[in-house]
Amino acid sequence: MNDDMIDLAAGDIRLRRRLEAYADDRLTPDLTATSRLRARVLAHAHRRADLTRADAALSIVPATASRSAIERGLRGRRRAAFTLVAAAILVGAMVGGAAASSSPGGALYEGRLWIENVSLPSEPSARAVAELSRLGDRLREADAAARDGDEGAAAAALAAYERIMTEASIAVVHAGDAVAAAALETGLGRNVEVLEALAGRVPSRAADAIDAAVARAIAKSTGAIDSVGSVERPTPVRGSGSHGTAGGDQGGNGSGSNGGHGGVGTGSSTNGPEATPKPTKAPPEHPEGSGKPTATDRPDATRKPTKTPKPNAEAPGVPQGDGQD
Amino acid sequence: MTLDDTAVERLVQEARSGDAWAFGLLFDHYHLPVYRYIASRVHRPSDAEDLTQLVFVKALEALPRYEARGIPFGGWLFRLARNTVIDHVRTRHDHVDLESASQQPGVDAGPDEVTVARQELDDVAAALAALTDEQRDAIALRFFAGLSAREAAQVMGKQEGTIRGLQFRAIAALRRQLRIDEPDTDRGQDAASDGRVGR
Repeated sequence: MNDDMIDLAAGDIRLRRRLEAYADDRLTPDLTATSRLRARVLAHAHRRADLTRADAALSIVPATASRSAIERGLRGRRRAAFTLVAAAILVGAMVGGAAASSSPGGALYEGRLWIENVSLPSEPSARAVAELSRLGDRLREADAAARDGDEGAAAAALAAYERIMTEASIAVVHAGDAVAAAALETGLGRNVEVLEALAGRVPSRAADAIDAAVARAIAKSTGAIDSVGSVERPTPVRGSGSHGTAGGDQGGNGSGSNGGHGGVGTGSSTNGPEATPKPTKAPPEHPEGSGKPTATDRPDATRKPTKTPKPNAEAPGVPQGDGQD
Repeated sequence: MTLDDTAVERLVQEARSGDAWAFGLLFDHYHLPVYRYIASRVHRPSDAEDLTQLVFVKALEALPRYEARGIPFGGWLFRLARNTVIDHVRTRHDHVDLESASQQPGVDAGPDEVTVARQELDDVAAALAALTDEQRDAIALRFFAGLSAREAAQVMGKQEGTIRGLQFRAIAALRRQLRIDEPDTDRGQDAASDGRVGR
C-alpha cells in the first residue's frame, strides 16, 4: 500500500463528512467555553509577564532606587527617629558593644529592625524592593546563625523575617500596586528556595529548632505569596498596530472557534467553527492586501515589552518530562 | 486566524520574553486544534476544557526552555497535549463515555432529523472508540487537529510511514464500523486533500 492509495482512502468523502460533522458537533468548544478558556490562559500569561518585568526590576532597582529612597528617608522627616536610635546605639555600646547587641537575638536587634522600618520609602514599588532587601538580610543572618548552630539567633532572624514579610505583603495589598506586588511575589518565591536550601544546611546539633522555624517561615511565605498574588494586575495597553490591538488581551472578546480574536481584528472570525485550522502552515489564500490581518505585519517598535535577558543554558529544546515521550 | 511558520516563531520568541499579547495570539492560533485533539481523547467537554487550559499553561511555563531544534512550536505544543492526555487517562482511568458524548445538543432541525443526526454522531463516536489507542491518536491528530502525517509523526514519536499505516487501518475500521462500503463517486477530487477534515 503506497501513500497515494492511503490518501485516496483517506479522501473518502462520506467518511470525511461524518468525521467533520462529529468534530464540529462534539469536539468544538462553544463560545462561552472558548472565552472562559482564553481568559484563564491569558490571565496566567499576564501574571507571568508581570513576574518577568519584576525580575528585571529586581536586578536593576535595588542598586539605585531603593538606596536613594532609603537615603532620602533618612534625611527627611524621620530624622527624629534616627536620633533616637543613635541614642539607643550609644546605650548598646555602653552595655557591651553595639555590634554584638544588634545581631539577631541581641538587645539592640529589635532597635535595628525598627530603624530599618521607619526609613522605608513610601512609594509602593520602591518600598517592596527595600523590604525584599531587608528580608534578604534576615535570611543571611539566619543562615549565619544556623551555620554557627546558634538556635536563638536563627530563630530571632527568622521571626523577624516573618514579621517583615507579613508587613510587606499587607502594605502591598493595601497599596494595590501591581508592580510592587509582582516584585514582592517574585522575591518571596526566591526566598522560599533559599529557606529550603537553608533547611538542608542546618547542623544536626541545632536541627530541630531551626528546621521548625524554617518550616514556619516557608509556610508563611506561601500564604504571603498567595495574598500578594491576589492583587489585581492591569491589562497592559497595547500599541497602535494597524490591525487594532485594542482588546487583544481581553478574554471576553471570544469569537467562536477562533477564541476571542480581539487582538487581531475581525477578519479571522469569518473562518467559523466549520474550518479545522492547520496549525503550522499558512494557507495560500491570504495574500497580502487581502484584508486579512496577520501577526507578521505587527509593528514591533510600538509595543515591545521590557525584555528580561534570561540565561538559557538549561534549555533542552522540549519541555522536561512533558513534551517528550 | 492565520499565521505562517515565521510569524509563529516570532511570536514564540516574544512570548518567551514575557509578552502576554504574543502568547494570546499563539493561543488563538492553536486552541481549537488542541481542544479538538484533547476532546477526541477524553470525551468529556469539561475535561477537555481543563486539559486544554493545562496544556497552554504548561506551554507558558516551559516556553523559556523551548528551542525549535527541528520540532516546530506546533509539534512541541501537541506533544505537550498528548502527554497531558496520557497522564490524564492514566491517572483518572478515563475511558470512552458514549452516554456523556451523546448528551450534546443537536443541530437546528426537526425532531426526526435531530434523532438521525444524533444517531450518526453516536455511531462515529462508537466507531472511534473501537479503534486502538494509537489508531485513535493518529486519527485525532490528522483529522481533528489537522496535522500533516509528518507533524503527527513528530508528535507521536514515530516514522511518517507508521502514521500513514495507522491512519489507513483506522480508516478501514471506521468505514467498516460505519458501513461506508462503497467508494464515493467524488472521491478522486478529495484525494488531493490529503485526508484532512475541514480544509
